[in-house]
Amino acid sequence: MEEDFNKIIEEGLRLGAEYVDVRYQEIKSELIVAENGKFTKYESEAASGVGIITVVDGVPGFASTTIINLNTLLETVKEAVKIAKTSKKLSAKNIYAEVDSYSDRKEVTVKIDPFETPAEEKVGLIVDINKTAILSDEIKNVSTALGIESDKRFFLSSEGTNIRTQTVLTGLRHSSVAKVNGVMEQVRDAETFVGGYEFFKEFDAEKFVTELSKLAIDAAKAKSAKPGTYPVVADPDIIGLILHEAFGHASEGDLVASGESVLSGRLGEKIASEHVTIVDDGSVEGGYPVWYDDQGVKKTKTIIVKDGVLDGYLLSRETASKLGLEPTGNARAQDFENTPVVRQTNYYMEPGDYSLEELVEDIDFGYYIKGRGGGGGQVDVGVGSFIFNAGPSYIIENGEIKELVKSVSISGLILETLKSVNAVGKDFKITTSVFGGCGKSGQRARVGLGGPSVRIGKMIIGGR
Amino acid sequence: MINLLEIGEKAVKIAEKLNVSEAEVYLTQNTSRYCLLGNRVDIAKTSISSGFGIRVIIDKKIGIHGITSLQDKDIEKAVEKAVKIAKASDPDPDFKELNKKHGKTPVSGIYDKEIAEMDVEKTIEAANIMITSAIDYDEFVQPTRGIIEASTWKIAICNSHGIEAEREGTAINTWFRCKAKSEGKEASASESKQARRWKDVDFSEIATSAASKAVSILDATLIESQQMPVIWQNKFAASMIGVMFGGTIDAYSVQKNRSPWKDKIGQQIASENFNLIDDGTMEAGLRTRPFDDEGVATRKTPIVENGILKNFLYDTYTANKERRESTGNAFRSYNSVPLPAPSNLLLKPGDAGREEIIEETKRGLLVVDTIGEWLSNPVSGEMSATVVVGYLIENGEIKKPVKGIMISGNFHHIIKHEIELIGNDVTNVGGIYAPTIKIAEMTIAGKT
Repeated sequence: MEEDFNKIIEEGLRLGAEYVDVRYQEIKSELIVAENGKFTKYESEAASGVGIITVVDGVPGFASTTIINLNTLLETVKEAVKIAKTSKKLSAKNIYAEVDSYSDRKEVTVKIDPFETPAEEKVGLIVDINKTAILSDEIKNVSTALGIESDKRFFLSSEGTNIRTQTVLTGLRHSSVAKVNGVMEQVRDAETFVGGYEFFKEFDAEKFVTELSKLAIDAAKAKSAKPGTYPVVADPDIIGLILHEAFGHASEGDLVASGESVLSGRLGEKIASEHVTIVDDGSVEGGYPVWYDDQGVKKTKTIIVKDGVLDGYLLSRETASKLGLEPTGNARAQDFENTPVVRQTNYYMEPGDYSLEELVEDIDFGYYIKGRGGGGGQVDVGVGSFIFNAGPSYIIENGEIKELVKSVSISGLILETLKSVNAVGKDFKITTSVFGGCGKSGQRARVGLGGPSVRIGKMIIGGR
Repeated sequence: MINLLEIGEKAVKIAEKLNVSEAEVYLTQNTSRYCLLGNRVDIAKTSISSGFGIRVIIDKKIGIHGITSLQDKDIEKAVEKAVKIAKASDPDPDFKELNKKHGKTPVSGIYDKEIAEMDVEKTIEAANIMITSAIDYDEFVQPTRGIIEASTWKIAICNSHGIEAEREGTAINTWFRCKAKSEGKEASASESKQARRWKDVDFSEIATSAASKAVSILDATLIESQQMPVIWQNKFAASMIGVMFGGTIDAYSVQKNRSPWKDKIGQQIASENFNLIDDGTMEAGLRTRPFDDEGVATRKTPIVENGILKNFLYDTYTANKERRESTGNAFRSYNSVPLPAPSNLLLKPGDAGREEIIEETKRGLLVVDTIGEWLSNPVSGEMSATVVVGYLIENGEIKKPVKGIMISGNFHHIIKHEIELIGNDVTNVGGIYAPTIKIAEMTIAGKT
């Protein structure tokens, strides 16, 4: 295959391109679902294809195909060059910033290939786990899913970069619906392991789903939070989501370069409290591994905010050149059919040195906001306003964590929120998910979310 | 050109040799031409993709598998994989059989030669029209993001009951966002349009609409919390109809106890002026097609008639479960099982023009664009949305722009008791079509 791809690159150069890259990808996935003690569905997919970018006089053109043979690939590179030449008349130049070229192979360690595990075994496991979540008559619906994915990528460029990577994810998703005295409450959560089927040897799945059922019952019995503005402690799950959605996107180089982001032109400015240091890290325990991006640029740890001061952006080769900065390895494509756009990898706040007890001890009245059981939210990156659904959370009273309240919604303006961070916990957890990811420009990307627990001076809490 | 039906028939035969009770193949071929823009055109692309989906049934046990390759050896392996999955699955007692009856309803406006034969250059030119129109509208406007995507597809369905069906379609999806800047103030707004024919999209109008919205909200302010009439401009009305009815009127959700409309057929669920219809045959409708993803002929199905709930939407599986006919609403992709879903869902228009509705509002809120409306709960009907483009109406005139406010209410209560007027200006958000509607009263959370 590599031989054919080299021929494609040569052909692109011969047709007048100054740069060509070829991305080949094989994605396999399975999803097995059980509901209320019974098997419900088994979905399975294998996709593969090639995407080719050619650059002619600084203007890119892209073409992709799922039909992989030398003739079709030659047609595809021809189309990519034609698009670049056509675009030249009307498009802005997108100069690629210079980068080093690499030749490398990286892959996730897999002890037991989840795709080779017999279908019967996987179905049996999920049905069994699902059954254990039916705790009592108060549980009205339980749904459990097993998700596995393998993503193999091969990147080859005319600058000599040659990178092969493979990631494998294995995960469990569960939702419990409880009804107590006519009040319904649903909580869901997922746990994903970067690796193979060995996950189920180590992970206590039964405990995981039983706890969710218990939480659903407790939340159905719980009172609602009192809407208003309060000091809060946000746990790693919810702080990770807020940072990714409300701040991370605003630090993406394309939105910064186009002027859409609230962070445009503010490097060096103090935009958060001095407790806040935020990074985007391609390799962190629990997160989604990104060793190289889809432009073949090495991804390391990028500092975005250092002690409250805006220190960097997430950049592709084009956005780096537009902003006069160095690429950070954040150009990511959902798949071979899509062109890379600036995306986060594992985006988080660096931990501080407070214990959870210390974080809550100075709060007279507020909430301990939990991410588990929540889901969904929306952000306006131009203004920095956000609204999220958190999960069932706890009241903080006289410096102590007290009773549970039903799921809450939280909202605010991200820069005001980050300025009111007055303590950062020493706990730290990053997770990724095989069941979802981040959406942008119609493309999905796997990311890692999380961080430490964080104390925030002011947050708007609503009921749900 | 690849002959999809030939591949399909061959695959059904391979499955039959493996002793399955029934087999169905779903094939897709898609060409998409696309242009992404920032301040200017960023990149254009052409993507050609194919999909092969196999569903096999062995003694009521179902196995499916999807692949993107259409090569013989990959298809053979895919069929074997589906058989393996079926054997590992538990039988579904509700599964009766695959569709046996193929039909075709004559429909028009769903295949546009102009899109099918176009070059990617056309999307770049259209992107440039949007960029220049936005800048021409006002010197303080800057385009920030946008997408133009035109697709042409072919779909083929074959099954072991002899069904062989093939159809073609085209569509265009456009989205544009820009920012207005003036005297230290900034505001962004977007506009979008989805259609089946190139000529149905006016690129200049899309950009001008986004630009005029962005400029109009530069001076937006927070208003006091209060109760007042709220006019849902057509696109917001369509979004809300989509959130509340899109996933609750299909028989699968009803049978799974996930729909609030279960056991409500024949009951008054909305006011008499409320008529909702699913029309798979609408001229140039975004989800119009002669037959559904199982080969069943499409049709019109009244959902709510004069406020009374009439029907749900069925595919073959959910219809068999209730011993009735499919309504031709099966939707699937090559890698998933079919499920019933709305095709074109239309809230029937009334007589009032949008201007008239505004004119007869003494004091109220006109809601144009929102975020977060999709977080509303379609089961309980509790809805809320944060207004990003909206205006206060005073004495029948649009007065000042508002920002940062949230509107809330209960949709089930609203459609039954609070719809004052239904407009005549139908537009679509995806396959949901609705006019502007006036709601007598909603809660507005603003300054406290």
